[in-house]
Amino acid sequence: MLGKLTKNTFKANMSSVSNVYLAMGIIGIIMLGLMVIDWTKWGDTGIGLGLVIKIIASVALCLTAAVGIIMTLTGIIGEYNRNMFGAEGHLTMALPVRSSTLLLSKWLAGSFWVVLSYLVLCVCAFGSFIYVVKHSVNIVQGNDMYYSVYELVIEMVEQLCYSAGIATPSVAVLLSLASIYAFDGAVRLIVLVLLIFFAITISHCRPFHKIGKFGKILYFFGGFLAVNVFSSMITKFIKIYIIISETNYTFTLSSAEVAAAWDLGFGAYAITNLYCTAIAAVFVFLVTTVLIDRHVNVS
Amino acid sequence: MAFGKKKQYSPEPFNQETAAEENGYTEVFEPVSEPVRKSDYAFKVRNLTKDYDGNVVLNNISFDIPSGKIVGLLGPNGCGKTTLMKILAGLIHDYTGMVKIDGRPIGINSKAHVAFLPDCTFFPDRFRTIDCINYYGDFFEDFDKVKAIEFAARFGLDLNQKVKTMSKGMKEKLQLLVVMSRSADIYLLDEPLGGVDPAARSVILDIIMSNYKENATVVLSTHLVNDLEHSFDHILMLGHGTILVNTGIETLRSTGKSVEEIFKEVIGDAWEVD
Repeated sequence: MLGKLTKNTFKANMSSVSNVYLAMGIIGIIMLGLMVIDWTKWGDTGIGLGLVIKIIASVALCLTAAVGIIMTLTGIIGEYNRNMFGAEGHLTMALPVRSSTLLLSKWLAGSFWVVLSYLVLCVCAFGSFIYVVKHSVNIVQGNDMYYSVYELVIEMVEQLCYSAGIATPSVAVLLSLASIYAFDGAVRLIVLVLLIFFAITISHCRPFHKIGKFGKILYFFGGFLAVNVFSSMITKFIKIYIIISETNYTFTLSSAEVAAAWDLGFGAYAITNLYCTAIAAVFVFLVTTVLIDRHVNVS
Repeated sequence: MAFGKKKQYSPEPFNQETAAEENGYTEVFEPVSEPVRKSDYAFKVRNLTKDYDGNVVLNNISFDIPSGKIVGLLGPNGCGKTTLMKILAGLIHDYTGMVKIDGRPIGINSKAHVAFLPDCTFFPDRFRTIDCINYYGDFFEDFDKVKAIEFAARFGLDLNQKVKTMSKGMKEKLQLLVVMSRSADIYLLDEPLGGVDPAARSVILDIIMSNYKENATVVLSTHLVNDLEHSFDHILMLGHGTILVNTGIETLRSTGKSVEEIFKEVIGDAWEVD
C-alpha cells in the first residue's frame, strides 16, 4: 500500500509543481543564454554592460532556484491540505490504510520534490559560483596572472583556512565535508516538510482549528521551535563530532580532538544537532499519526 | 421553526425516548446483548454525540441496524445525516460514544468493508475516468474493474475524459459507478440522487439496487423520499439531533401511511422549509 500511495502522491505533487519547474526551466534557459552570449561582439570590452548582464543572470538563476524551493513547498502544502482534509479527503481518509502509511507516503513524495528543488538550487549556486570565478580568471588573465578555476578556488579556501587559523584540508576532505553539509541541509528540509504536515494536521483538530488559517503558521513555528530547542538542549550536554580524514571517518566526543583534527588538515562536523533533529522528527511523525487517527475531521 | 438558520438545538425537548413515545414509530431502544454472530448488526451505535463548536448535531443517540437491509436515512437539512455517514465511514473522529460496524470498531478493517459515497466530488481534477477506476482497483480488494468499465459505458462516460471537464452530474455518476463496483459489506450512499436529473434517477437507482453485494447493508440518505420509499427495508429518521424513527418498513406500512406522510408528520415544520 505504501508504494501505491507514494506513487499517487508523487504524481499529485508532480502535477502541482510541474508548472513551477517549467517556469524555472524557461527562466534558466534565458539566463544561461545571457551568460554564454559573447558580449564583445556587441561592442562590449568584457568588463562593461556584458559583465553586468552576466552577473545579474547568474544571480537571477540562483534566485529562481530559491523561489523554486518555496513554490515546491507551497505546492506540497496545498496538495496535502486538499488531499487529506479537503474534498479529496473523503476518498483518502476512507482508504483502508494505516494513518502512518498515509503520512509516510506524503512525506516521502513531498521530501523527494523538496530535496530535488534543493539540489537544483545547489547546482545553480555552484554553477554560478564557478562561472563567476571563471569570469574573474579571464579578467586576471588580462593582467598576465594565469590561474585555473580550480587553483583559484583552492586559493580561496586556503585564505579562509588561514583566517580561521587551521590547516587547509585536502580536496578529498573538502568534498566529504561539502557532501555532509549538503546531506545536513537535505535532512533539515525533510524534517521541515514533516513539520509543515504536522502544522496542517493539528490545525484541523479541535480545539486548535479555532485559530483559522493563521493557526497553521503558528503551529509550524511552534513545532519548529520545539524541535530546535530539543536539539539545542541535547547538543549542549552531549556533543558528538565526526572527524573526516582522507581515508576514514571517526567519531569523538572530545573538542580537543576536533581542534587537533583541524590543525592536521582533517575536517570535523558536529552531528549531535542533526541526529537530535531526526529523533524529534520521529516524535513529530508519531504525534501527527495519532492526530490523523483520532482527532481530525474531513470537512 | 427556522430550520435553515444556524442555531444550537436544545436537547431536552427531543430526548430520544420521549420522541419515541410521542411519534409512536420508534422502537424504543433497549440495550441489546452481544449479537449471536458478529454480523447480526451492520451498525451498533451507543451514546453517540457530535457537536460543531457547541452546536449539537447528534445528541447521545443509540441505535442498531440489522445486517442485510436497505436503510433509508431520512431527515431535514442539518439534522446530522452527513455527519453520521462520515462518522460511520471513518472521516470524523472527534465524537463521543461507541460505534461498531459489523462488530468492528471504526478503523482499517471497517474501512475495507465499507463503500462510501459522499455528497461532494472527491476525485482530483487531474484524474481521468480510467484513473479513478484504477485508483479504486489499487486500494480496494473487492473492487471489480471490469464492472466499473461497463458502468462507465452505460453512463456514457469516456474513459479518457478528465474529471475537470465533467459536469456535476457526470462526476456523481463516476463516483457512484466506482462505489457500486465494489463488493462491500456495507454501502453508505449520501444523497446519491442529489445532483442528477429525474430521467437519470431511475437508472442510478436501478444500478444501486441491482449491484450491491448479496446480504450487504445499504444506507441511503436522501430527501427524495417519494422516489425511494419502495426500496427501503428499514427507516432511520433523524431530527433535532436525535433518532425520531428507527423501525422496519413493514411496521410503518402497517399504519396505512406512506413513508413521506410519516416523514412530514414526524419532522413537521422542518419539512416545509426543505
